[in-house]
Amino acid sequence: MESISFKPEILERIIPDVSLERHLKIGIRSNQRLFDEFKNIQILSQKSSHLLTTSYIQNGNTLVICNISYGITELLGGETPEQYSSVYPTLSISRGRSGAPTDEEMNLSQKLYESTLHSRILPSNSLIFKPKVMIDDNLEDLDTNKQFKFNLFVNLKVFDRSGPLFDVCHFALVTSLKAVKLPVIYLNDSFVKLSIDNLLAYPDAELVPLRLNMEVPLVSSNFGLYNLDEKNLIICDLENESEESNIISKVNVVSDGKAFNEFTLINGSLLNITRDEIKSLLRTSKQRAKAINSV
Amino acid sequence: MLLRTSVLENVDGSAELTNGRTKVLVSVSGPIEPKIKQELPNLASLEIILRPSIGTANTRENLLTDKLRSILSSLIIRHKYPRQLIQVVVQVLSLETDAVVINNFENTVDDLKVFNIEFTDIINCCYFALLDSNIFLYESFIGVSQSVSEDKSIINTPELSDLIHSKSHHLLVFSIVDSKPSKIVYADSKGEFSKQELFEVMDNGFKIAGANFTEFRQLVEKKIEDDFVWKQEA
Repeated sequence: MESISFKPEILERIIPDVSLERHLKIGIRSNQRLFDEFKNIQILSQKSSHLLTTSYIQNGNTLVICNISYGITELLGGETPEQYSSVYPTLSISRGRSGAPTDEEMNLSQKLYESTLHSRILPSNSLIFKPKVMIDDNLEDLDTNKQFKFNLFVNLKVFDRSGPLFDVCHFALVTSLKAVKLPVIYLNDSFVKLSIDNLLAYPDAELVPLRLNMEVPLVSSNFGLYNLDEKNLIICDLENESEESNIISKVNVVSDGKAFNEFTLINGSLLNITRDEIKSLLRTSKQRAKAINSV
Repeated sequence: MLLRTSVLENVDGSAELTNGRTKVLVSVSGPIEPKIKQELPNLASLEIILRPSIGTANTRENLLTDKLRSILSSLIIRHKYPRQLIQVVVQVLSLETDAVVINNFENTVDDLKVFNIEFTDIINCCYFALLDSNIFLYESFIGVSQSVSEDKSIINTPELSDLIHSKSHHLLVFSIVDSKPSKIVYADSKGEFSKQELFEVMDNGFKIAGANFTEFRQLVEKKIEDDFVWKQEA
């Protein structure tokens, strides 16, 4: 009987668990990165107008386009908004097909919503406004008790994904929020009634930067924990299907370089995770956040 | 905490857990025949359905289902049931936020719901339902929730008002070996916290998980006593 040999990339597709273990045993990863090396993440371009803020973010080969637009709602009498707000994200991962959102897309959108709210980066006050009124081509303050609120809609498109997406989508969202500028909203004097339908964005007025409760962008980092010869191996920034699907003990940390805003640990393979290992993950994520924010 | 097991007749195991204003009902059916697309050659597939107390399931429930799947799939010995299906259905019966919904502050309730106040009870109720269904588990498990207030004090099993005013909140799931917490199976910390605070919460979680499991053990002992039909005559 003849033995069959496969190229590493084919072996990775047919038996990813064996491929992963063989790579890790000889101290390398199939993506040629070091165990503690993260993929480069950068803002390719960013621009804001009175209708839309767009960012292009690249993380390894993955490209994320993040658009932030806004809508307006009226605050009803007696309604007291929470101290902090969130955004309304929708996310789609391009795979050459269309249809209903997948579970992964829904979960990522919900995670981004919850993460923004719990990180307390978006104070509700910075979204609440009183409209102006246009009288003879001049904007003047309107004497009203009615208050309105901007709702931020985030649309993320992911191209060429190669690993877990929360980190890059979170980075795209947070850096885009930093760039958001809100327009002056006014009521034209031809309208009699002050309602949402009659409010307009004034394109010629100077845009107001969105006030955030965040000095530097929060950075999310992911890690995998893999048991090799009775020792836990920490692998930073998982990539490729073999790592993503076979490393089932995962940690995600969100930090601004000083404190932490999120820590998620899924110990899928029931490893004995030590305090020192958690300390090491926290230290690495802090250092990464500092390094990204210093660029 | 109030627990009832074997509350449903047409499933393999079920449990109803009442903790304060939160009431959860979990059923487990399995191992049963899967649909062809669910079948895995060497493992049992896990189907989890989570239904909220009010309205229909949306992305929030979808994410909770995903989290629950990651916890349960690491604790159920799925190799024992190859090519079969284990179906876990979680029905939340009542929640602390329901009172807010009734008062029609719908925008506010969306923000309150993200605290996932019922998730710890769902995890604990799943444990009892899985025991009731005799599904093999690697280890027992228990979920505990804590919050850290602005003055840095830790609150065990926080209520909604504690969560709203907290600086950070934390959900931890521990596996249990010999009635003692063994490993962290799942951790979800959100808010703003330091490394020291995180470790304090983990240490405190470890203690309260041990203490709470003593109560769990008594409930399990009582269940076994009630279920055991062949009793020795005095």
